[in-house]
Amino acid sequence: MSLYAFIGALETGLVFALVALGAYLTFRVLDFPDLTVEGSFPLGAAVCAKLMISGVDPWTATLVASLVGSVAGLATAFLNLKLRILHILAGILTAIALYSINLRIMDRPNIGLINMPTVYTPFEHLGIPSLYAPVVLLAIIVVIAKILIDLFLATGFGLAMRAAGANARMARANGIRDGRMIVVGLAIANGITALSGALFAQMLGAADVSMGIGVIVVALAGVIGGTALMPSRLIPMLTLACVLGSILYRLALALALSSNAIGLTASDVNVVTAVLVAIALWLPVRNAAFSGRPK
Amino acid sequence: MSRIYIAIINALFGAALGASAQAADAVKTMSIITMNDTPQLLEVKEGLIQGLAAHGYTDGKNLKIDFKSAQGNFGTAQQIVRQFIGDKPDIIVTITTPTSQAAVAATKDIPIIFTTVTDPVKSKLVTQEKHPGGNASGISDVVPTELQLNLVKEIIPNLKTLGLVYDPSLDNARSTVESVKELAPKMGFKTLESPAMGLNNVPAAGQALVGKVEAIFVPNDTTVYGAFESLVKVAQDAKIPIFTAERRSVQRGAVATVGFDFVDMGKKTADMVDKVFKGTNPGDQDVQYMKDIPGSLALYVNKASAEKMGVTLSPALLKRAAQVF
Repeated sequence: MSLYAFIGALETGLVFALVALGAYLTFRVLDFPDLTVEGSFPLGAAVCAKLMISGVDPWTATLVASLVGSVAGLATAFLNLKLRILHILAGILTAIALYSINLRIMDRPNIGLINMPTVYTPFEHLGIPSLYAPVVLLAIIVVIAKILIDLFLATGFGLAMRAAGANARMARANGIRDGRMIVVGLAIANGITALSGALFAQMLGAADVSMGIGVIVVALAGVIGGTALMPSRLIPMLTLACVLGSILYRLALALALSSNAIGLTASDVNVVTAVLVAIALWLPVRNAAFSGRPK
Repeated sequence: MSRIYIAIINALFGAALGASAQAADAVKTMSIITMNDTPQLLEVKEGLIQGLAAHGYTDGKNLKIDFKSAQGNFGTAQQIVRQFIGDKPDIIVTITTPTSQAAVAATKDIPIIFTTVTDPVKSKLVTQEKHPGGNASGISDVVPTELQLNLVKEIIPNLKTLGLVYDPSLDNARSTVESVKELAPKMGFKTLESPAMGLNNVPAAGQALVGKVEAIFVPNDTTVYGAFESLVKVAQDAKIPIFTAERRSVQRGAVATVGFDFVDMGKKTADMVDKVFKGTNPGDQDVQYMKDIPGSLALYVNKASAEKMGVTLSPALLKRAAQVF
């Protein structure tokens, strides 16, 4: 693996670590399998790209993109809570609708952002080589996002959210409005996912309506893989595990991609992903079996 | 648990050592990335390899090819591009618009030749078509829409409404549809769009046009071509002739097209790659439009399928055809 391939894995892993943090909030904390992210990831990219080519500065564009992403989360929460649609279906519905909405926003399927000033540009001016600029900025953003989520989950509201996810009926009995927790949780998760989409588009040099394909699997690979390798009961450790899991997944993928490394070719990428996730899902079961504890 | 970490670290270092073994100077290295593995795009790749062989570069002898597909995943595409840059090949060939954008955004040093991109300027791959400068140039697959519509009018003289089946998420398809809609009023017919988002929706998109149009036109659309036989069946049942924008789909059941061949497009890409190998930077090579390259356009017809769709092709037309399927 060359330095470039390593940096590529690191930066892609960091971008998708944001989606993994969002997926941790929904899948693990709220126990709400949210598939909206397949739509809110390209939504973030679309809003950001459209604003950038309209002359808005990249930071404002990125911020607006993540706010619009939160609205997508609210739409899923509305479908689930008000229309009583099954959570997984509610997310799929929003994601499908977002496909058309993203085409509307961009006015075409693809917007090129090559040679435009992006959020990474100021870091290049600071003297950081352009290869490392995205990694440095993304690392800062991911660390901030991780700490904010840790702090949030430690507040009274955050504890209520965890209680609602762990046992909705018990939470309700204790006066927690679990519906409100879903609303807030989905808004945060999709906001951070759209932020990820906006940052990824600026790194890739384009926003494309098909960008959402496979995002949820990659995010879950990070969450499941990370928490399987670093099992813990502490929230800060678990969010750290999500970030590291996301990066490790990308490193494993880079390994599979570096030709002739272990006899794998590019077309094996999807099966490698599936095997990694399956191993990560199996590890806790195996550990539990070895230590004699019931799962 | 620590054994797993050690295994991962060992694997990473093993790969690092493997990658550092560089090829000899006489051997040219070419890295190819495609977004998807659709038949048309793979034909371009085959044509590229055939074309380079004609220029004297044989895969495995004096040419080392690294071909990778992102399988539709943008994160993977980004990683493949980074890996290519780290491998420092003599050239990177990018198939499709998004992979081209990822490569052009990521390196200003390694020469890039892009192919099957519809609008290189609008996608920001180059700032201008003539003498683009920088490290990237390539070939556009924009189709000769006007010639193709003339052909439709010639075969279906009483054309009032032309149905358009396409996937609106594809940049290539979308821009063709826009130019069809622009040309239609001048040529005296109306258009009716029937979008197909995803392979499964292709037959339904065709059925939606039954009874409303006299003919269907399909742009260069990997989604529709992916499920083309299902659309052909709908059209044959309803006796609506289908027209397309390239050769292979005519072989698969469309009535006719004036178009180019994707293998041929790969060969034209190989010509540009060869110039890079011989020392001409991509920035000094003009962006080429496949439809404007002399000899690349030809008439292709499918007589049997046309009859099933209720169309009789005139002997004069059959005589003009480069190939009758």
